[in-house]
Amino acid sequence: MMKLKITLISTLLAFALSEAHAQNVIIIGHPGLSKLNTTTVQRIFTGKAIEVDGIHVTAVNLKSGAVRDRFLQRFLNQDDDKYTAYWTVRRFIGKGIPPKELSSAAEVIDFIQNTPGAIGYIDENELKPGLNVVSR
Amino acid sequence: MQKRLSNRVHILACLLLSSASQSAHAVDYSLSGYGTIGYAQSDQDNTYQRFINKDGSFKRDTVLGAQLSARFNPEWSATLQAKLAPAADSDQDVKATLSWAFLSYRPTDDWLFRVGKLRIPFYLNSENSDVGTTFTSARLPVEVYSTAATVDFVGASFAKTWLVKDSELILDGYWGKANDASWRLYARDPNTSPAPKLTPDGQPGEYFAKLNTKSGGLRLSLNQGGDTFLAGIHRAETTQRGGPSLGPATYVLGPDFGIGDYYVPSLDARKITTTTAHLGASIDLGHGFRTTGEYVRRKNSGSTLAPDSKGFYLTLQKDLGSWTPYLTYARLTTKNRDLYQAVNNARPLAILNSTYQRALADTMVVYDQDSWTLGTSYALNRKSKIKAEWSVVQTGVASSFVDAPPGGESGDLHINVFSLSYSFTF
Repeated sequence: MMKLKITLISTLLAFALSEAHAQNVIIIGHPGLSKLNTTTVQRIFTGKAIEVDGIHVTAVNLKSGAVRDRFLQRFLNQDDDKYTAYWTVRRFIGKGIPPKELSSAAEVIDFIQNTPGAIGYIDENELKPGLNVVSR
Repeated sequence: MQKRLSNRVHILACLLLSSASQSAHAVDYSLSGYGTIGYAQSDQDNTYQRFINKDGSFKRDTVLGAQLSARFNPEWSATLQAKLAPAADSDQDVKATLSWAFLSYRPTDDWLFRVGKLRIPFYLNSENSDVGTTFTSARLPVEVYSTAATVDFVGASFAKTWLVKDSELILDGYWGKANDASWRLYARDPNTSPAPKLTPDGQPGEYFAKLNTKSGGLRLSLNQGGDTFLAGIHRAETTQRGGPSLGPATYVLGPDFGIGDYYVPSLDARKITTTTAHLGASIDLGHGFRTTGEYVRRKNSGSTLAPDSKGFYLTLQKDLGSWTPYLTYARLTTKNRDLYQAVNNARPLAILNSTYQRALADTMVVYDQDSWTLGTSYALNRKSKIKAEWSVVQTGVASSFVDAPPGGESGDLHINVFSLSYSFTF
């Protein structure tokens, strides 16, 4: 009986850990970009910051989906509706345009590797060696 | 002078665009658009806000716009926005106009400079007033949002931002000119000599004063959490376009000939200087409730016929998922109400008949009205909204928002306005 309980708890723990692992979104930047805190990430993705340590940054978003939702919740503490509404106003008051949207983690990685100052986010599962993780 | 300034802006914009384009690695273009299909109908024959009467109209609220933004690099960008809507200087025409056409330079996080055709940073929703999805109400309160001859200008602006913890303090400043401003007036009666002929054919109807404005101002706004607070001060000089005078500066009692009181024009207004002070706030009250209010005081020198006014509105709205019901109270009054009443009601005998006095009154911009508005918006998705609204307007002495029929008055009216609109962005 005890053995069964331990097996059940272990299975649940493993499941919970794997879920938590899948929910991690990491921020990656072009090589040379320094580590960023949550506030700075927030300011970059809301167009309030365009430079970090003297380097001009260019943010990219993923198209609507689970990873983007998790990113917005984790770093901006808001949902996609609110974030889109924010950028709609900002765009039409002439104070900027939202970050470019890319379709997949592969496109984000490609853009970031080839664009100086680029910053974006991917699911931790998509992380590859050599990528510059600036926040998680 | 205005043309020279405009040319300089265009030349500067072309040069900057060209140099920025050359230095750009890849220009990031972004095309977006917005629109509102709006229908409004009242229970009155008198037309309200240019188009709304018993017959119903799509013209008051319908607007379509497109915006092209080009980001050359994180510092330089350009924006062009065109819109299609009923013309500001004609009730019959629909016109395509440029709302934005500017070059933007952002050297650091906290500085933004723009040059070109811009919209005045005025009220909470001045810059996005054409984009219906960005606010809850079917129509922004006319008592505050429709008291300036123009909302656009050609010139330059800056914005300085201070980020303090979770708060954002922004100082916006601007200076520029508009050579396409106009002010709509309405002649109630057919022309009879010796009354001034207000419309080209002397028949009742709208007519437009063509104006040049030169304006500048500062606006300080604080965004803190979900709250916004605004304070602004603006100064504008208005002159007649294509003429030396804006018309009479005021009306005074004529000499006593024993025929009763009557009024005659006095002095010419060559320039009207308007100083406007403005306060606004939008506050999250918790539990989905939000209150938004704005107060504006416009003070004129140079003419008592133009609107020296006080206006405000207060809105309470409740976020219920996709639904956002709201209730608004708004009021607008002008200082010249008593003069209007005296001129409009003067009934001298002999040649200076009441038609003459009424024609003089029709050259005044006067407001005395309040309104209650109950409505709701429904978000179909994150980029489109349907809005329905019932507004009850009560006019006092008079309201230049109302076109009164021949022999009639715009005062003491009770108007029910029903509005339904669909707004979208893409």
